[in-house]
Amino acid sequence: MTSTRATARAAKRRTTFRRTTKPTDPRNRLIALLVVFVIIGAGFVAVLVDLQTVRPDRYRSLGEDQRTRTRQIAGYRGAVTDRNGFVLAASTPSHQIVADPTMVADGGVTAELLAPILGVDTATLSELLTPASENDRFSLLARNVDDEAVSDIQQLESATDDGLDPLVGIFVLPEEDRVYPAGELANAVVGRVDPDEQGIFGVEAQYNEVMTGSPGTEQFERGRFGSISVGDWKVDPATAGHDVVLTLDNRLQFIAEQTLIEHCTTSGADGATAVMSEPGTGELLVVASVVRNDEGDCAVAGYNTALLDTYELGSVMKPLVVAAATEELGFTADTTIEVPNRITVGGKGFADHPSHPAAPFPISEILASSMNVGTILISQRIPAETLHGYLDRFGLGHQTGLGVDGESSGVLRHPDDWWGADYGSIPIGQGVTMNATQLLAAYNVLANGGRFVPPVLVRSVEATDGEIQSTVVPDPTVVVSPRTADELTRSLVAVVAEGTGRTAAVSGYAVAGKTGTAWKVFDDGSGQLGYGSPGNRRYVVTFVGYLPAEDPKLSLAVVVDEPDGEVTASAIAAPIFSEIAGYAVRVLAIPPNGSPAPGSEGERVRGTPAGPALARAPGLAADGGVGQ
Amino acid sequence: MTAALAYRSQTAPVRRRSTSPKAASRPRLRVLDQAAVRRRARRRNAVLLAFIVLLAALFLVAFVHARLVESQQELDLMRTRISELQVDKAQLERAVDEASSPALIVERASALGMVRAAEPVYLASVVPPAAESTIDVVAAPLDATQQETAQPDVLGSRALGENETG
Repeated sequence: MTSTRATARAAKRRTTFRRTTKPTDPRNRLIALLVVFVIIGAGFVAVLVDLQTVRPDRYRSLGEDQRTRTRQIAGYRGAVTDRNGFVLAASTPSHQIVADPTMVADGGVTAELLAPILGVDTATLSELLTPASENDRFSLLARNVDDEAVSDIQQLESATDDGLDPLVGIFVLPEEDRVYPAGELANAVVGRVDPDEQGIFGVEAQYNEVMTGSPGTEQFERGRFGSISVGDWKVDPATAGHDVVLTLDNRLQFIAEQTLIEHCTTSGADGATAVMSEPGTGELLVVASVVRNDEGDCAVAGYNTALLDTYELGSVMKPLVVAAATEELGFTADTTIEVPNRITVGGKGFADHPSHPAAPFPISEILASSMNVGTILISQRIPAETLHGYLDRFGLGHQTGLGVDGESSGVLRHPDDWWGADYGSIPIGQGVTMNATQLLAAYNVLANGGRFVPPVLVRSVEATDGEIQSTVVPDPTVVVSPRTADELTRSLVAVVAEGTGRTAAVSGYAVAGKTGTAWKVFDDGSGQLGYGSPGNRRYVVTFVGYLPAEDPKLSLAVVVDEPDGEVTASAIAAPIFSEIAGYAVRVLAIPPNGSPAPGSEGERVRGTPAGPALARAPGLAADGGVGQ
Repeated sequence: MTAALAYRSQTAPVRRRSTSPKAASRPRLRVLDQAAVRRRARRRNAVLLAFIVLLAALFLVAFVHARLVESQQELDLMRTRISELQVDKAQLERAVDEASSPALIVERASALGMVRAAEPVYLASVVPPAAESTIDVVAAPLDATQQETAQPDVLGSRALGENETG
């Protein structure tokens, strides 16, 4: 017992000894704790400062990125319409199907499922769905996929029950599809776009900038179960591109194209062009281009032959030359000129066919019979500089101002560059080139009482907010006087009434126009360009005119390129003119003036004889009619 | 005086200082202040009312919020529906455009047995003397079903000579 107590006392002493030799100061612990709290607090403060002052934007954007989603809103490309609002080109919502090949479980299986829906063969799809490398994260499977196909694809998921989802790695993205509801109608004018909706040619390219819409965005907050209804929602609205309203009339354009295709086929031509306009405004109602394609079929062309192709158009030049002389020398349609059958100019012979004895011929007959010699003699009565000035003001040698890429201005050489036979060939339309639209604009001068009105192809550009920017047309310029224009119109009516252009007549209407049959320059195998030789020629046949002659409401130029055989404009181009113009007067509701039908003398039903219908046409009756 | 003293003794006994421990631990009694009691009651009622109002406000806020969410969801649905309808409209417009194309109209018309109209016949608007009234028909009517493109009157099967243009 004593021992136990002694032991306890000894232990107490030891304990007491330890406590007294190593005392724990509570202040130290407090200080240490304080330091820890200060460090932690300082950390918090540092983070707080960083969050609030140093990099607040970064953290805010990180947070927003986590919870917000951005969806793109398509800014659709503007439409192209004709003058009546008929849509020639427009954009419509569509989809593209893309894939991340690295996510696709079995490319072969997925390809087999998608192939019939997308219309792509299985092998191609399988290849697209097989990753070439681990970085191969994108494959475009199909574009312009409609809603029905997308729905079919989405139903594939439930159609398989093997545990593998064939749609993993397949994505549907929105896009817009450019559609052309009328197909190839006015293809060369309207143009086309590339897969990225950028214009390649035609109006699509020319007005690409204003027609291109700007996409908008929709930002919304998204939670675990989809969008948060009362979350932030920001919309930057898309802006649709502007619509372009053309001056074309889809009905006339269609008829013109079909007529050209039909005649191109039957005549064996390489191509054909028709351009129709309202002479008073210069608005082009038809710009039709047809070419024979690689398969040997005549079809609507993808490029604008009415502006891009230039030809030596032959006798259609004669009225312009005669107009210059008439303006300068005061001729009338009845002025007579002594015309031999053959003359030599610059060492080269020019003759009329069929031949005729040297005799005085009125100007109207010179044009009606398309006399080469008579026209050359008339041109020689005015200086070449003066003639060139008139042809220049008629618009030859200049671009039309339509702004179409690749438009050719044609060739009208300055008289300083005329040599020898040029003085004979240029007045009859060889050695000078122009496109069909230039030709029509030149004849519109005669239809407009001597004023040159530039052609117009785009009526207006309209924004979605209703703002309309009308095309600014330069003021008309005076080329010849109204008297000269009227005299030429009388002569041109004679061409159709009793001359080479009789097949261009339109029943019920007085037509003023002119035929042109020109040799075409080509390489006959000798390596040099030339007109060929008798029996080996190539032709370009043309008819250009306007009606009703006394108050022209429409003008039309028809050019047929290289029809088969020895041909004339009377046989090929003039009937096309008659057919298209005959339809156009009904579509445009142009009242007839009582001119007889082609080949018709007028059928008397009862009683008294009927006089020449044309003699009753206002404006022309004062001179006792034309073509007499 | 005696009666008065007797009354006092009944109603207000004289306090005697108790010396026992039990008497010392008894709570002291005091006279209630009726006004204070009423004040406390009013305060309690006011607090209760405030609590109820607060609770009602909370419910109201929750209700309004729920309605807001509901309306917003309805708005979202309508917005989605508008987008879908706009897509439908665009696609229908394209379908109408395609159906209006001249090529398709001609195709349908041909399928229905229609033919291209014949050249129209115009009657001259000349009014002749009544006794010998005439009507000038300036073109002969054609049978639309048999009409074909008029054969051109070929003027020049002639061979063109040197530098000749037509």
